[in-house]
Amino acid sequence: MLKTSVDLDAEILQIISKGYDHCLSDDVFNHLALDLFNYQYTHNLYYQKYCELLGRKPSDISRWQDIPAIPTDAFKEDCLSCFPSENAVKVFHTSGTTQQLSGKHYLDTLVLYEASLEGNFKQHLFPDLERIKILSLTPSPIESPHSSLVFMIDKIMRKYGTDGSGYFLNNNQLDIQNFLKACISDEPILVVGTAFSFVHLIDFCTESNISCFLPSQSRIMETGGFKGRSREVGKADLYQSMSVLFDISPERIINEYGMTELGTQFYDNSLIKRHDSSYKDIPSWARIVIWDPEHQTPITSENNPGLIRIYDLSNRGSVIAIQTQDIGYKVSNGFEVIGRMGKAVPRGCSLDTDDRLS
Amino acid sequence: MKFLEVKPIIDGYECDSSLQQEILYPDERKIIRHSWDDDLLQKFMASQHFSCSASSEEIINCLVLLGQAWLDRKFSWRRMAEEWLPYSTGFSSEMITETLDITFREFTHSKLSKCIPNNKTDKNYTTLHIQAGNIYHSSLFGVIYGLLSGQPQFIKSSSQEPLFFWLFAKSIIDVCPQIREMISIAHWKGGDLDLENKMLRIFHRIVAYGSNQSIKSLQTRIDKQSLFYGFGHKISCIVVPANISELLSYCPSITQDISLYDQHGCMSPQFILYPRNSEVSVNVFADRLSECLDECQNLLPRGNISLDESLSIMHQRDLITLKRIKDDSVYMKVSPDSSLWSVIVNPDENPHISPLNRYISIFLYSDLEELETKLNLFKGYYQVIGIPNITALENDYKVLFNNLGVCRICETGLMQKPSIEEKHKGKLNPAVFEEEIKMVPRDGIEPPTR
Repeated sequence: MLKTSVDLDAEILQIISKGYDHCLSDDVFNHLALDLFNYQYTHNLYYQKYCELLGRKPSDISRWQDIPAIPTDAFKEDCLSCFPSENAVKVFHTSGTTQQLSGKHYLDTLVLYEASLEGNFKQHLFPDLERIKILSLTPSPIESPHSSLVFMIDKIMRKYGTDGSGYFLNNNQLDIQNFLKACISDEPILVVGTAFSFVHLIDFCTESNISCFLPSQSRIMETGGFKGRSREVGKADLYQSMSVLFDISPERIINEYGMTELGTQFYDNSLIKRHDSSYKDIPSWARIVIWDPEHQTPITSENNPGLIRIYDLSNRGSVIAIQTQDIGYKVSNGFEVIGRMGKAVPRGCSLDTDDRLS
Repeated sequence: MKFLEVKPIIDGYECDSSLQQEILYPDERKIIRHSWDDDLLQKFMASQHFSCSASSEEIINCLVLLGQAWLDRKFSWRRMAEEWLPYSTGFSSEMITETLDITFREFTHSKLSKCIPNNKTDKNYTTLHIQAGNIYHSSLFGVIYGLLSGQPQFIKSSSQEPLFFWLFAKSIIDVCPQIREMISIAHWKGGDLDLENKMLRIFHRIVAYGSNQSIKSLQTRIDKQSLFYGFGHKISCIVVPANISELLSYCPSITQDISLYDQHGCMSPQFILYPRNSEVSVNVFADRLSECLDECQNLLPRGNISLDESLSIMHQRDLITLKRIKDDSVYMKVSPDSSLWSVIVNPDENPHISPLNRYISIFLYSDLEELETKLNLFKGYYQVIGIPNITALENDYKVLFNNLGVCRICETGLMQKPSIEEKHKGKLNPAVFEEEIKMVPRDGIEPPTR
């Protein structure tokens, strides 16, 4: 029987509430994923047509891995939602320049999005603290109301941010003077920003011969790609520069992997001590498949690169299975991201912020 | 473990062992390749003793023997090519076998005789061929023209594929030692501007293949006394004229054009322009072409491709699938569970470049005016246009193609098989070049079409 959105939300929320590291059996995930696929196939007509073109329908599918993954480009083509767009309580826009179409992710409820965000974020960024001072090198939600990155930072800042937390990108300009002042603190700081915002900050501080040491136990969350239209910086070089500028050890720089089209984000687990090596954790309500584009099959072995395909239960209102344009590989119980595929259009929050800065 | 030592073929000079570069092949065999340094360059410059006493007839006979040798499956250098070129080129073994046959079948007395320059050439005139990496023998016919002129030929092998010309030169030493001193092979690492500039200055003529950017970069650095022929980006396509009878019977030959060299060459068709009013619907044509491409996979398998290449194909297919959701006229047939071949019908789009590796798009045109508009998008960049049943081609089409500046128009199935004796600008026949451009110095000459 086709489940309703209310039923599905309740079941998914129950799983999310058990924490990102709750051991969810594949059977339970499979059952819920197939229910969700059935619901989305019925209510999301664009996705239904996509599945039909691939010759797949719910009755033919018994494994979550076989649910058709829709390319992220689809979010630029149509309203990819299971409800009328006018019922959306929030619409996130993908970054896009004037030459590129901007994609939209419609949400009819924020319950799943926020539940997926909060525990997962806190456990990976400040598992050792209840609250933390958050300095964001992004625009504020007022200035950037359609950015999913800004929305999530705002949610976290409101719930966990101490006094002095704030945004330091105004009118397309980094407010470096106030940021530097805010960094002088007795308490640990979490600096969040896109790769490009850090590049701009590093460039400014290097040219001005300014240091920006963070207090002890501080940490950084960096997100977004490393390639774009401004200066191109490799990840290792960027982290080294960040480490020097902020006087912070590289393992305290956490990379977040997320996208507008997803309700779930993925974080490096280097601040969670139980792991021997750092990689991106996969929350219990999501699955990652590394896809071999040549043979059209999942890559099951570790360390072999392929395209990252994400199955995310928190995407109840749109599509559970998303085909990204990012290359990554499986490692241990998680995965790592290498970067964007060569021919793909640059995208991500990073570009949006970079647009403002350049 | 076998070792193969590759040396510049200039008698009497050895490289310092510290200059050796190792190329490790997947099965752990190694090629040791020597690089050039300043000392070796000085020696080379001081010793240009390339005098060849052989007559044109003797050179032709040498090359005929050479061709026959290469067509013999037991010929040691061919066997080595068949064994090793799949590693260095990425093409399948079957592709290497097929393309070696196609190439060396051209080495006949009658064809080579037609390549002898009509006017007398200066036998001390030196030519440097800068080989591109996409097609392993792209400079070969140019080298042959040079040899037939009695002039020394120097080849800078490609970093991607350094093997073929080395094997070719070795075969000359074995089969026709009388012309061995006319051909030299070397490699230097790109980016060493000082060495490269010195190399570029010592040749009378430089023939280079590569990207437009590389060609322009080279052109600015070549001595004004030298002649420079740069061959940058080119594409090819197939035009299906209206009212072709038995159209589906041409699908196997079109498949040949698409499949040979896995679309990596400039003579490979990247798209097909198809008449909207054809008696055979475009989807039926696409279905038949798909069947042929699938069958071709058994006879002439596509080579392995990189992750980036397969991602590119997958991404294009994804975009087409999304387009099909809103546009019923878009049609797609692809190899199941692989990226081996893709046939896309995209009626309302303008032609665009293929991600290659047997990915062919079909675009439609209503009349000659629309055909011209669509072809004009790549005007000046066409290498070959393939036509099914070219003998029946109406004059209007011929006029249109002539205006596009196409280097060659041919029957489908022959796009990748140019005959060595065809004398057109693209064939690098020095005599033809020199007759046509009257030895004008390099400055101001745009790279000719090939």
